[in-house]
Amino acid sequence: MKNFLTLIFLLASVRSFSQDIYALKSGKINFFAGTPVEDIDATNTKAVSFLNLKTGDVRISIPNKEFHFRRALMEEHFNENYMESMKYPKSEFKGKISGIEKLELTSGKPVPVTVTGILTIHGIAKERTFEATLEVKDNTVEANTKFIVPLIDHNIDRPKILWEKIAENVNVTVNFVYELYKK
Amino acid sequence: MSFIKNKLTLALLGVVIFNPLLSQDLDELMKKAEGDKTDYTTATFKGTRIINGHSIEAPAKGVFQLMFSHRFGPLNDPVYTFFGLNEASVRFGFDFGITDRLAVGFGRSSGLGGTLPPPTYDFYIKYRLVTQSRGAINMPVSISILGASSIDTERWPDDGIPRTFEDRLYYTGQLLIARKFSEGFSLQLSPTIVHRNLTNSPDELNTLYTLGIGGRIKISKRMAITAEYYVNKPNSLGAGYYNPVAIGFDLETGGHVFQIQLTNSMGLIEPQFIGGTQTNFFDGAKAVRLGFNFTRVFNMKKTVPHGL
Repeated sequence: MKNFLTLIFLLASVRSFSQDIYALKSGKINFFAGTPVEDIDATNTKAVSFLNLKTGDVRISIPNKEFHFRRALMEEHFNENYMESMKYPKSEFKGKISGIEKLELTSGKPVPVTVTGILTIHGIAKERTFEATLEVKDNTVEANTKFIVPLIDHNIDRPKILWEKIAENVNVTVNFVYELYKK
Repeated sequence: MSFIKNKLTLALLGVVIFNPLLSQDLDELMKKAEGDKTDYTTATFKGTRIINGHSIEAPAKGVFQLMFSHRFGPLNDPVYTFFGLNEASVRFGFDFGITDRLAVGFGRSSGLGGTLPPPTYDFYIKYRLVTQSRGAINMPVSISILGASSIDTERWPDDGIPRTFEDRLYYTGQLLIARKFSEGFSLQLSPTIVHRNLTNSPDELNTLYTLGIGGRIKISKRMAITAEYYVNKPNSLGAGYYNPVAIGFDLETGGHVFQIQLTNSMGLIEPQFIGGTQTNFFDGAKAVRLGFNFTRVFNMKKTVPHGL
């Protein structure tokens, strides 16, 4: 009987463990680096991300070449001249949601959270803290955040020449919908 | 009974321990999920031409490219021709990306003074067969195929020799094989066949088998040094014709690509520079001339980023 209880306990723990990991189902990262002269914006829907709602761990990886622009040439310049995507093919974030065990996530409403971690863009890692919201529904988690990336933080050259006008600070908007991870 | 139960517990414990979800942390999950992606190489060359010949690149879908090219006279005369600027062969061309793989182009070339290629209309179609990539799909090179034809529209001389419309036609077939070895270094091999229905003299072969070799070394993010050489099969060009050699400099300024070059050829399309180059590059200033290609791109279709 005691063994049986152990068994049930173990089964239960397996179940609860697998219920903590969420995989990105559909993600949209948009950035705006325009100036009054020109709209420069791009969207990426090819991010890979996992979220552990028990520990608060977050991992995000974004293939730089999957940012798509209004003009093919902007995309080429982004990859060739700014991001150097051949050398640095992806942008990454490794972080943790602060105090996730204390959060009441199951309210069905967006819950403000603080995420702290390392943001790596153009090969330069920076410790950053972001404000985000998490909305937990049945088997999905929707995460939203907005933040600014100063290009200088990541050694991204901003040419001083007239014909290329890009902003000093890039505004990034993230909308991620995670789904319970099933093996 | 308890023995059986123990065994069952043990088995389940095993399941628990070896459950991939338990042994895997997020980093491993990430690694596995990212493994499925393919990273395609872009911008192997800045321009749709390396110097004289085509590169594997073509305008993207919906992009329209306007191109002006000039080749001047030989450099050896600084006084009377100001380094050859009295004569020029000129081509203006339009290139259009129908899809991201398929492009078409149209051009007209003509010249003023000297021994210049005849006024010619040219058409081409270029198709990207494969793109260099790494990741889930590993492909060492990018390959494009090019088919071109041109019509020489020079008035026939009034010499009584009967000529037909077919005599005005030229054809080019090219396989363009390129690899971007690093951010700064790209190399292309271009096996080429040029067919001329009519040649200037009987010792010139109508069909030329040629291997083009071209490369680029970037010296900054927006500048590059290029070189290009087309080697014809020996004894096919005829007396007085030479293989085209070119050394160039690429400057990219936003929507423009500006290419300046030193070359021995006056022609701006394949039959003319491969089969019609009349000076030997290694004779120096009396053979080598200045030239430029100037391109400007326009977006015909306003592409909106996904999800906007």
